[in-house]
Amino acid sequence: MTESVSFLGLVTALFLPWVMGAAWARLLLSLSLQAQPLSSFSSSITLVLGYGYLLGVLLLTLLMRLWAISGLSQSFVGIAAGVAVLTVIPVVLQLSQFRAMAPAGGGVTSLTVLARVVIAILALLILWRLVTLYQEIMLRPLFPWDAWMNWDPKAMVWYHFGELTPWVSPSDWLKSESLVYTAGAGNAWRYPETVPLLQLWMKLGAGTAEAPALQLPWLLALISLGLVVFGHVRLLTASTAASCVAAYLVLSLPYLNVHTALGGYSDLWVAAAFTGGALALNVFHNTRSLGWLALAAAMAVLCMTLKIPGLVLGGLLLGLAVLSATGISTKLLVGLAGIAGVLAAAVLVIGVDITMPGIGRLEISADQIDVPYIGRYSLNVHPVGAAFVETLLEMIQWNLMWYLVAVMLVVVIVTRQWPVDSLYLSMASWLGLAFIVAVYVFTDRYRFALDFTQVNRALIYVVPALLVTSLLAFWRVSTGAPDLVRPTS
Amino acid sequence: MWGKPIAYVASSERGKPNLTRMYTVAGNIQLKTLATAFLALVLAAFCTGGGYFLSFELLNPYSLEIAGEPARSVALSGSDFRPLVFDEGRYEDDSSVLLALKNGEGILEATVDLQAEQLPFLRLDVRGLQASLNTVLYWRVEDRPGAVFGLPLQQARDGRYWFNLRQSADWRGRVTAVALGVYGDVGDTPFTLDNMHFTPVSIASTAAVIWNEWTGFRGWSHRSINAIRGIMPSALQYPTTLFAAWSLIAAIILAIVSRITPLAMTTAFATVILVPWLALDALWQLQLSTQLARTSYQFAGKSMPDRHRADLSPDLYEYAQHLQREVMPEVGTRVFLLENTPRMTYRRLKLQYFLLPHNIHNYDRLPRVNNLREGDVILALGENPELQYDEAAQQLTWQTHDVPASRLDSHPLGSVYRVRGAADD
Repeated sequence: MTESVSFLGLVTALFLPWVMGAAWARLLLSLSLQAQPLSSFSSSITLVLGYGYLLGVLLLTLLMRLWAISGLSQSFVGIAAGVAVLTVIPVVLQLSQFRAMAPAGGGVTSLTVLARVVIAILALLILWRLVTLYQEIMLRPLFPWDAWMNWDPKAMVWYHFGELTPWVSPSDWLKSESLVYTAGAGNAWRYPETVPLLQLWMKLGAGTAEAPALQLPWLLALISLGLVVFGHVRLLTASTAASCVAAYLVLSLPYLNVHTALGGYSDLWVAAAFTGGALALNVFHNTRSLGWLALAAAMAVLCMTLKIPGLVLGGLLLGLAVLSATGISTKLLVGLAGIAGVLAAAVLVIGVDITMPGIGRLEISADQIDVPYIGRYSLNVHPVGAAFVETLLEMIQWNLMWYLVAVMLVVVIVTRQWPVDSLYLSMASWLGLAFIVAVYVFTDRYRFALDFTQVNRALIYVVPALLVTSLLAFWRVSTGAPDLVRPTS
Repeated sequence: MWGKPIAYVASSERGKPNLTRMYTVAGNIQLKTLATAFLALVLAAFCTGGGYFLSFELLNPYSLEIAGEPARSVALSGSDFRPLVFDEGRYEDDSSVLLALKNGEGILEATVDLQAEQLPFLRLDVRGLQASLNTVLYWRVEDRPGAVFGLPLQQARDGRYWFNLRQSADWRGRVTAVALGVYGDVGDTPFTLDNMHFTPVSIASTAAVIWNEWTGFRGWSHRSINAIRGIMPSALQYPTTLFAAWSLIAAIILAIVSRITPLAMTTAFATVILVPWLALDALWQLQLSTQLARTSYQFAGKSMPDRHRADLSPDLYEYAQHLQREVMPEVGTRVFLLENTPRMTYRRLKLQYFLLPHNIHNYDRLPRVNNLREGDVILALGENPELQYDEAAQQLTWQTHDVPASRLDSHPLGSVYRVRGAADD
């Protein structure tokens, strides 16, 4: 299963989806120019590139699914041609407006010496980290357990057959008369397929089933996340130094670095997609630009096609998008949240048991919860407090982030400087965190918090968004009058 | 600092703004703020460190459980050790030098007489440590004769290292012998043991041990993807909590100072957040860089098969290669992977991966007759006394079942059979 790597194919596989995604991201962001010009060239270019790769991966894997549905074999040249066509469409649509995103001030010339020094130091540190991670990726065979147990095997098999051979449950494998596969772990057969499709794409491009370079998309995912964070903080604060600080803080988080160096899991992708979605949703709420809404929706869909918890996080983003689109006022929002809380409590006490045709059974009671596609869990309060304290506040994996989050939460409450301009980012972050904490406090999954095998892989989804939320709160409180993007209508 | 220097002075200016003066004033405030923030960090570092060590001396369990006179360090030079296992070595002045290991192993032993509880810290001076070497401290105790205890010493470079021997629950009692085990490949750089000191608890030794725990190399494991502690589980102190206290105390100092003299608050608080963050990040970068050196030593310049051979389970990889080349039928054939272990163990899952794209069900300890079909392949990994092959009858038997089968391969790591017909209950 080892052949030589095609350098040209590898580079094409890495960058062609990025170019496609960037073209679409630019098209969507150009729609936002009608409502609110981006504050600077640096924020626009980083947003286009950052969202570009994530959007590219989404479109690529959707195309590969369509390819399979059409009965076509998974050939690199064919799919690459499809990607090229999908790249041309947004480029043609934008031919007449290529000057729209030109620099709009706030560039390097207005920076103080101190700001330049800070930016230079942080940029060098980021570069050092990325180079270190790149070298580690390029040396090591696929290492992390679930990567070779659950995610990569699908791509290996699909690469061999040139088609998306079905993966079924172990019991169905035993009964099946046709060619089907089953995964090492019991439930892995039903995991969403974006990550193995991306792995298949890389194998097709590189012309080999395994090589360390096939994990390079994980480095690009981290870079994309950093670019998105930089672009949004630049957009919201108009400060290049503050944007560099935010990007550095996110990119330096040890746990994100590990999921990059030891690529192969889907968690880093969910983190990038959820963060991108929450930030896009926030700008949509402030500007009412449909381009940002489309980006937020795309990131939500990406979340949902990456991992089972991504269904909930993507659903959260879509739900908040609907809420924002209705133009509901903040006061009404608070009122509705209160009503929702009361209703949730009532549902838990009274119980709900509905069978939805074609979807499944939804059962919620004080003892257990059964949600279609998600699973069935019994509900209890489990003693995970000490484990959460250790993983959030003691282990090195989140640096000082959770202290910053806790302090800024207290400061915001005490000073009453509510995050009006980052309301939807805050809501997405905190509701996402609440979902994750609830899973490990109330369900049988608490065991995976006690032994630390899973809890951090869930927290990573909301960490970047929560960190940006806290940094914006810090900015708001310390400067008093942030230059946040305001609605124009 | 944050791109809006004019904001701090604009409200105090009247009439038409003098931009040059405004930037000068703003620059002065920024510089004063930076200087104040760094002073606050220095002061906070003393407060944090002082408070920690004051409470450590008062509260640490190691000191309290030691009765009687204060313990004195036990110092051994390299020449106090005698080589037990080695291929080539010599004494140089007071040091022991290992020029070549015997089958990747070298052990230096010394006789001692020390009370383990009184001397929980080890100071080690070594040279010639490189990515290819690992070291382990061994010891014997008087009341458990015949038993040898060990503790891996996490380190990766030349120099002086401090270790907390209480990471091992067996560091107790009267120790009669200690030994340093060296494993790996010394290459062209001889390994030299200069000194080994066993020391009692003191502020200096505690600080040295903590620093070594923060900077000592730990390396990737299969748990790394789930959590990164930053220290060994039984280490004395997480760095994160101390760095957070450092940042928080500095912020409190700044908040007090800002009531006395105006400061650029964004710059001030950003500094006391960013500097401890950077310091903690430096510890992490040290881990990553050391890991990269190890990874490079392990895999650089090798083909993909050789990288697998240099990885965690080369025997399993070679076995899989043998099966792929010489044994396995056409891809797609149903393969039942059996082992006398739980389903989610490393070796059976890793073999399943190495054998891709073969169609393998990571099954159970034994087959079930009603699941087997003619043509299926059974791959039995490891020994399983319940699963037997009757060569004469060409049957695979287990419990009360037997099934006609051909043995395709027999190997020290496992056996492969092909089902030839219906099973009999």
